[in-house]
Amino acid sequence: MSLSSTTLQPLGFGLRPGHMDDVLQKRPQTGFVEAHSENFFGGGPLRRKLHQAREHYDISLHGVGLSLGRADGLDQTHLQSLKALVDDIDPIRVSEHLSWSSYSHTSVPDLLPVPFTNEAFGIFCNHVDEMQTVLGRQVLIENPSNYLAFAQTDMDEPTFLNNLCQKTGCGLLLDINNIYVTAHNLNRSATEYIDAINPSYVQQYHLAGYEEVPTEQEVLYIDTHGEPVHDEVWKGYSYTLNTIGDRPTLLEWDTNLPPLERLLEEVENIAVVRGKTLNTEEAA
Amino acid sequence: MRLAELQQQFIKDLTTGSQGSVPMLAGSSAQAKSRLKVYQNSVGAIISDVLADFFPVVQQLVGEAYFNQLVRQYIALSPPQQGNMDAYGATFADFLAESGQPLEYLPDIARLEWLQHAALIAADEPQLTAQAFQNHTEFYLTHPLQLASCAVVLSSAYPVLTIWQMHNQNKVRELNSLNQAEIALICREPEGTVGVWPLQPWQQDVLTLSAQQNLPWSMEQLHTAPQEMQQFIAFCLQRGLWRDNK
Repeated sequence: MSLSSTTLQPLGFGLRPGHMDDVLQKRPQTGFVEAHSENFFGGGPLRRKLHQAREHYDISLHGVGLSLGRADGLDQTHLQSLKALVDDIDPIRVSEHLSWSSYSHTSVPDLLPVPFTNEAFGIFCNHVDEMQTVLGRQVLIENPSNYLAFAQTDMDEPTFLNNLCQKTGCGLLLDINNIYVTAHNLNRSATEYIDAINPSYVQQYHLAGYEEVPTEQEVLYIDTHGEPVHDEVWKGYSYTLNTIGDRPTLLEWDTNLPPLERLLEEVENIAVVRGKTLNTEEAA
Repeated sequence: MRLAELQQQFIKDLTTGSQGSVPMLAGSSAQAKSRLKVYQNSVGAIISDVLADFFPVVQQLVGEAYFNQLVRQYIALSPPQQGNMDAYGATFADFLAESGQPLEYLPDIARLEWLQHAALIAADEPQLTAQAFQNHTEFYLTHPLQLASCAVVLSSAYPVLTIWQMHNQNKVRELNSLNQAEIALICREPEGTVGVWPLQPWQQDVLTLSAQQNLPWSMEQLHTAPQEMQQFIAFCLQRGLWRDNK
């Protein structure tokens, strides 16, 4: 069966400050762009440029620092800054991570793994509820890349995410690259993970490149967002399209930032893989 | 173990290099330590990159290796407190002053660089333009003129601006003595670029006094020559130094 191109979901790329001027000048055709929320909390030229981009593109806002998995209360200053940005930009989607990065008076710039315990689940649900109430809209939660697991666990990650969506009404941003990074690092099956996700909760996909980093004992996959999408992740994207279905898909590239044209080529590659998988003919 | 205890220990491990959370992790002790190290390295590298971006000349002056060592000490003493990393580094200059590092002017270089970062991300507000000043001269001459939130003055006992320009902008400038005080003006201009300029002491006084009363009063207090004053006002208006409070 062949799908009409009009039914295909938009493709886009992560809009990083290093590409902002180029994008505003060249205005490449793309389905949507995604900005890291925290990059635009301040005023000044960058925030003004995001406004300019909003005139030409649908924008999704993707947060990395709210720390929804923290055991204590959410940082209200951070949440209000996010609300101000969301009200200002009116994004098509708002997302955050299944992770934590702050506790008490300390915060680190990384997406730390959540232990999949009943206690952590209850806390995470409360924080997602709070975020959605303050923002006045649904948010999407993304699966992170993990490099370790905790000894104490009451459920697996897909169950945690499915139950989270069922309980809070949030949606899922499924990062295919992160699924493969975590599966490799924790010796799990990526396809079993994808099979376990309830398709009705998934509203967006992320694709990115990881780096293979040898340690003394093993080779780990590190989610650097600094390389092209790997072959096994392309295969995983095809598998996900067949299993869950077509969704808006975004390419993330954050380190070793290539020229904009190279980024757009990789978005074109998403269209090619999707076209072959779903038996459609399309251009990005 | 409760989540709060786990997070308290884990985040301590990330900021100090300790390994207290290893028994909470799955796998053998060796594997758990190795996996914890991934996060420790990542956090250290990201924060070093962030601070190197905010303090490029400080990094140049001390070299990358020593800079990273200073950053590790700074993280252990004053870890980030917010998820928004734009706010991290405000106390880095004070830390450098107490760290025992040998360059006595380095804390002021850090202050100069932090103030530029702060000016870049300061909230937008109306900046007084030459046109507005011309259209409502009487108002602006009879009211206090406050610096915009994206403008600030730094006084240093060292030739901090000269040193910074020599390193950041490759400007070949003569440095006669390290005991030469300098005043720097930092401002995000209306089009969005942050600039740094030297100020004379009387110019700093004009900015202080005109914020208290008004420009004519500051001229009276300082006995400033009208022509010099006119040039300085034009300079301030061109840079958008003052908040438009009309």
